[in-house]
Amino acid sequence: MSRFLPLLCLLVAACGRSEPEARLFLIDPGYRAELVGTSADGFTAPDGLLWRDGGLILADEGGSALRFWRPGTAPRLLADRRAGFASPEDVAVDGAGNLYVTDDDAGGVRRTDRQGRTILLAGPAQGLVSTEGIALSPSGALAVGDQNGHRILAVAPDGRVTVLAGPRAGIGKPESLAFDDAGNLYVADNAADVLYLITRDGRLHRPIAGRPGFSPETLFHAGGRLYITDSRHGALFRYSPEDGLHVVALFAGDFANVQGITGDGDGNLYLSVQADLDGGRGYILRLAPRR
Amino acid sequence: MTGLDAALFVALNGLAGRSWVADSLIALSLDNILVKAGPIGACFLYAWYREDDAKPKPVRRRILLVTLLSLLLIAPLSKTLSESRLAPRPFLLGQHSYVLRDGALAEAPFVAYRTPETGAMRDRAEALREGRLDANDLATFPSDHAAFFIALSLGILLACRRAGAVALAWTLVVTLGARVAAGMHWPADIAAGALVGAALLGALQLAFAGRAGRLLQPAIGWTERWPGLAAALLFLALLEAANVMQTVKRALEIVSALAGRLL
Repeated sequence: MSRFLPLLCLLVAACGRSEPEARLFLIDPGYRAELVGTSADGFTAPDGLLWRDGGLILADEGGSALRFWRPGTAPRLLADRRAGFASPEDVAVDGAGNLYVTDDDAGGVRRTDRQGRTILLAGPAQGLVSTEGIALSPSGALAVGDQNGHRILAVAPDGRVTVLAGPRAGIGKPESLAFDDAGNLYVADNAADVLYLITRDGRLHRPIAGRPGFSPETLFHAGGRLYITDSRHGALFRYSPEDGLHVVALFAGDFANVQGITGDGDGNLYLSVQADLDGGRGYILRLAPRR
Repeated sequence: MTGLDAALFVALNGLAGRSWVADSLIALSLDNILVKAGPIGACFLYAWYREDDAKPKPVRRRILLVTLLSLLLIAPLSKTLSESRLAPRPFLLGQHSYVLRDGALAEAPFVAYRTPETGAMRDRAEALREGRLDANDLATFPSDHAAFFIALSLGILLACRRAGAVALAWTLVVTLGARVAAGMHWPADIAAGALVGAALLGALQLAFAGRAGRLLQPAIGWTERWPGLAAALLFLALLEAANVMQTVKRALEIVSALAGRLL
């Protein structure tokens, strides 16, 4: 028996784990990382993120809810299933502070105002059966990714829906949208693993296509740069037309399923991680610039 | 990773990234099957065919057959153990990294990793900078190469001391030493893998030294009656062993996929 004791110890050590294992590798040394929130803070498995009023708007997909959360405090519920949410995906905000939220299960675009009132702005009846990415252009137009119809739609404040890019454009799954400062629209297609660019003249470009190890999930544009999460490969990229595509960080273990991203205007990036969507477990990470 | 582990790693990895010639030799030991495992296979065959009155041929061949049998079990066992926890290869810790510990992010120790100028590890380091992280690079403990080749070398040693000593020395210095120098493994990965391989080999050798050894008598007799065919099969088996059973693994994946489709 004593001959096998070391092996048994190894087996026990290898198999015994009380805490989930997770790693984060900073390929860009210009950042440092912090864990600012976990499900223990009152949210579940968040997807889309948005920075507003010193805190984060969370599209809490695992909890079918929209929440406002400042690190170190309890989240405040903004809307949930009672407002029609099932699987909130992505969030945008207009100049008046109204939140626009997509839902790939319930479909449609819902608007939640500052008083917490939620209405269905445009729904499945108008063809928005399963909505993904959403973004507000500098001119105030709302663009929405329609997974079911493989389209990018424009939704007017009165709920009218028009087509910006139809199925012929070849966009498979518009998972996330982001406008740059000039009003050009980036589209993350994580079915075809392509980053599209729809310029203001309506032309469709493919700045990144066919790149091994790249499947864009969520986009965030700030400071002339586009930040791209990749949940399939556990990565965060940074892209600009001038500098090309660079890796910022890689995520492994419980952090691998990195989803949403946003920034606070001070250079800090916030990322949501869905460790277990069905089990309602997730994280919020912050990448802060090293100064 | 302990202080000793890190110090040993840095000492060996210090050989890398200094000269293209040295890095090419390290790369050859990693990437080329003949260099990595050819001499070990040669030692196996020496032990198989050598006439030695001290240890009768049937006994030596039983030991060597059991050694080959153990490799079939060691590969999946070691892989299962290594995939049960997140353990990054040393070259990954040449980046600033963090680990989740007690509900918070802790900065992992930074390793001053020296990238070889050529070879598979240079390619892997380049792939990392481009955002490609292989799942296999997060499952370094224990080393399945160490489990595999230490078991093979020790089996040869049990059958024939002279050949076994050469095989073991080659395993430690070339096969495994290169993996540490290149940044594929920590010394502790090698030690743990060696323990796994030695333990499984020891268990099987004990089992077949007893009554179970009779099960192998027909096979041993067959190798005496058909030496040519036996040599051919041994060649194929040793070639597969040098490749750490990758063909067997791939074949099983295909069978599993086919079974999945049919069922």
